Amino acid sequence: MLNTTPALTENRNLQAGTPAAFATLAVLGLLTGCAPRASVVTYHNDNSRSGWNQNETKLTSAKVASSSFGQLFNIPLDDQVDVAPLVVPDVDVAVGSNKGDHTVVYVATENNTIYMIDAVNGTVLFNKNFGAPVPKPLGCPNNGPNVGIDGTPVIDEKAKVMYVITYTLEAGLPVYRLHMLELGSLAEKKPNVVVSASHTLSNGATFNFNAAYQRQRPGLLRANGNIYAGFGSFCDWGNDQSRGWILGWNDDTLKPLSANRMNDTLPNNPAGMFLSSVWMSGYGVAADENGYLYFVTGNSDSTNYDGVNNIQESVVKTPPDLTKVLSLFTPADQVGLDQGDTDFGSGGVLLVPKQPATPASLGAATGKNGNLYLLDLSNLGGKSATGVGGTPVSVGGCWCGQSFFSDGTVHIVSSGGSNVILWNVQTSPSLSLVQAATSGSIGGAQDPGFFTSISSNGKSSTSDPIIWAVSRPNTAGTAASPGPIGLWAFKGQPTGTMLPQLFTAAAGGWFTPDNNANANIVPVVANGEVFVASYKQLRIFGLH
Amino acid sequence: MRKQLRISAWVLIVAAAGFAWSQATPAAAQHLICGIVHKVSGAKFALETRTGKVVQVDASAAVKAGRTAILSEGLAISAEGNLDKSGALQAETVVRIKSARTMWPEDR
Repeated sequence: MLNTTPALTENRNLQAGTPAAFATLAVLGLLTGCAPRASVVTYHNDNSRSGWNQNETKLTSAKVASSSFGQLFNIPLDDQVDVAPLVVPDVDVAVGSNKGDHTVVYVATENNTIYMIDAVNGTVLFNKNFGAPVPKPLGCPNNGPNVGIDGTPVIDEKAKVMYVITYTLEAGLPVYRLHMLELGSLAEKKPNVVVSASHTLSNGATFNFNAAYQRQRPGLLRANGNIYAGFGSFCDWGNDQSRGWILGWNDDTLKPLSANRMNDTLPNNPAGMFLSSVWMSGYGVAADENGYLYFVTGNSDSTNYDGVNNIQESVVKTPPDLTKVLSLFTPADQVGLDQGDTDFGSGGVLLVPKQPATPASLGAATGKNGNLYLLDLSNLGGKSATGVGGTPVSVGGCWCGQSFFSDGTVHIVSSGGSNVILWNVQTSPSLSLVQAATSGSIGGAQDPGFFTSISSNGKSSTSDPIIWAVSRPNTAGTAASPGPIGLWAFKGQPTGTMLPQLFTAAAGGWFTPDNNANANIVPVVANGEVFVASYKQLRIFGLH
Repeated sequence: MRKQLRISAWVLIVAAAGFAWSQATPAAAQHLICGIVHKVSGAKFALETRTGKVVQVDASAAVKAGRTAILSEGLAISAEGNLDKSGALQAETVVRIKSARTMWPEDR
């Protein structure tokens, strides 16, 4: 049974796999003359987490604004989706009744099910369940009734494998497992491994990873021949047990790295509170071109930050082997952030791909208070009231993450509050972020912020960039009628100080029994289509 | 014999872990109240509900069990527990909720 929600402006809905759908796609194929080719194999497109697909030739702003663009398919799924869909062309599908070459969109649910869906006609090619999910861990309501696959998987297209972490209840106990799956069949290429770790505390004692208290939420990272995953808490509960971790495994053997990163290594705390979680509203751990890792931490006890043994509320840079912290940036108001539950780590850190116009490798991060800092990745700056770009700019509360694109001008796209804001990275007379334009409000009554992605045809001034966004629901909804979410498109090149709206339509729904889990939904754009996964459904938009 | 001992030890470990996991999951409480936190004093605070009524909350049990959000003035939270004779809520869990009252779960 499909969940149907009222359309905001569009309501063209072809049922996946129906004759009408196939006929439409046949016409589409004739018109386009070729099969889709671009892939999206990791959270927000690349390890810098730009969210930018600069090879989109079909979705021009004129076409997206026309009546030819709209919803093509609505595919039912078995549970809530908290991860970004991934897209791979030319997969040799070896299972199911539609074997052969397909462009496949992979969607993982909180029920630990992975779907392989034909991106061209919306047919479910195959799905596989990886075990019973963990029901409402610790009783925490910041998620759906199940937590299963919660972090976006990552794909090695060359090796034709997907890495994914499942969360299963086994003999009454929560267990994380890292899987390496064949892209064509979802069969285990190597035996999966149970996630375990230990770390030496500052007093020499050993602290063990406990899957019952750790939430694997950030998108997985594949870099340096390794897979990396970040861990935080459920609701900040069990905060005497839960600490922020970054764990890594060899991507061929799945053997754990000899070192790991734990962000609070203090042995004791009178308040019994540790955390310094890595959650980032699902944003991926990032890596630069040299393989250095970057992530953002959340709150902890406000009194014991020392920048060494406890590094809450910080952007953190580590080497590939996770043996140390190379550099960090902590906002000067860390104490206030901790005390107010105003996590800096509610958002991820975007690495600005090196551009000729920028003097350094830059990053951008913001959190719940909406102060967006521009950072120098070579030296994040320690504890400071400013980043490399001076006083932070205000983008609105951010349970979110930035996007990036260049069209001759280097842009950062923020998505705090309920507005997209386009920022220019200004280099002269000084390095700073200058607001170029803003969108109208896209609404949303959950925590502030939302997620965006960018499509363009190249990176020149004529590349016609489009900013895509998914709005959080304005109402709580029910299981039968989830709170509507919307897909929005804005022209990436402003008219005056506004980003012209190209499109909006209902794009699915969101429901959790306690109304307390944000819809951290990332629109994914590839080959003339936009993929939006939400509560028990994947909607595919494109040109009719 | 050695194998039996090994199996017994394993069963004990799993049982103990299972017990710990079951203890980590709170039992259903009688009341759930949403509101804005005021006048924090240790684990106690005043909770202004959606109707404007103020309920005193003692979250000592939630703090002890590690099932509480950071208590901060002005924060929207839901507290779940039982009412004592004075009408104060003895909270077993405290969780941050959305700022928009339309998204708050129903009080009960």
